[in-house]
Amino acid sequence: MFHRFANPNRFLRLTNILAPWIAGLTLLFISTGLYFGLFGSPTDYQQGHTVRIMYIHVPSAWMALFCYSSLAISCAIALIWKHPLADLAARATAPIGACFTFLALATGSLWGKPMWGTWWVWDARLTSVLVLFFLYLGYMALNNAFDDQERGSKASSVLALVGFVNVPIIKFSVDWWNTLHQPASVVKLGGPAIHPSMLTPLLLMGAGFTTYYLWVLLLRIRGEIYATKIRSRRMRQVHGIPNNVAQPAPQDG
Amino acid sequence: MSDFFNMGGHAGYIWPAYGLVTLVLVALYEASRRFASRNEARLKEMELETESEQNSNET
Repeated sequence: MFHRFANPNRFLRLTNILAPWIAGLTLLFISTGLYFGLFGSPTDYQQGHTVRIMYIHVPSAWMALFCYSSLAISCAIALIWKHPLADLAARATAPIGACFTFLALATGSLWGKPMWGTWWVWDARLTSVLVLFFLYLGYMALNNAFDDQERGSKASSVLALVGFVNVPIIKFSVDWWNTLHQPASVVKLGGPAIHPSMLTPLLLMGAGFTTYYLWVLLLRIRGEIYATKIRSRRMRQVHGIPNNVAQPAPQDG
Repeated sequence: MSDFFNMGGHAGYIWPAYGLVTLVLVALYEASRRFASRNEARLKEMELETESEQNSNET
């Protein structure tokens, strides 16, 4: 069943159908999330209005970890089973994850200044997320560092898998070390420790960021599929193989 | 209304945060859309080139 989507042409057709729905869901989730986040929720008794930064900071941080997990899973599938779309999915995920990680750091900093009195501290949570950001950049740099795309993919996939050890470190950093950063309050034993009026915008923005990721991911995988086809055509030209040999008929709509 | 924009005196932190997220997410979407459509156009171009080469070889 999974292998049905291994065919890039079939995948392109599928994304054509799915993309408008995912785009619609993204706009719906984010616009309602923004409404509840900016108008429809109370101020926090300690944080005042700055609690509203949480509605973009926390989902960004969730996505930073979610994207890295997808990146590592895609890299594992690409290394072990050589699934043709897995490597493209990994390459498409990395820049999205890097953007979310940057946003988590930047919005956290903008919250930290008025609330902690500092833009940055070198504590476990902030430092490990900064390391995550560099892992994304390292993956992208290594992926593009070779003339042979296959070698670049292999080397960067190994880096991504080794770097996965950082994900549980980030998750549990607030429990393992003394840190300024507050511990988890949504995903924890005994249920969320947040009032529904604040949980609503948080979850809506979380859902919106997730569908945004899917939306941009499909777009980037499309681009990667075309890029791969362009590369293989160039290789054929270099080696003097006619392009009509063993080339499936174009069947994208 | 100005109360809303003032955000209890923290406007200088809250609006830049929201602005930055909007900017980055819109720019990433736009870059990805261009990346996909640029490669699609390039591939179509290459396919047309081979087609015309084949036609000129046949005649």
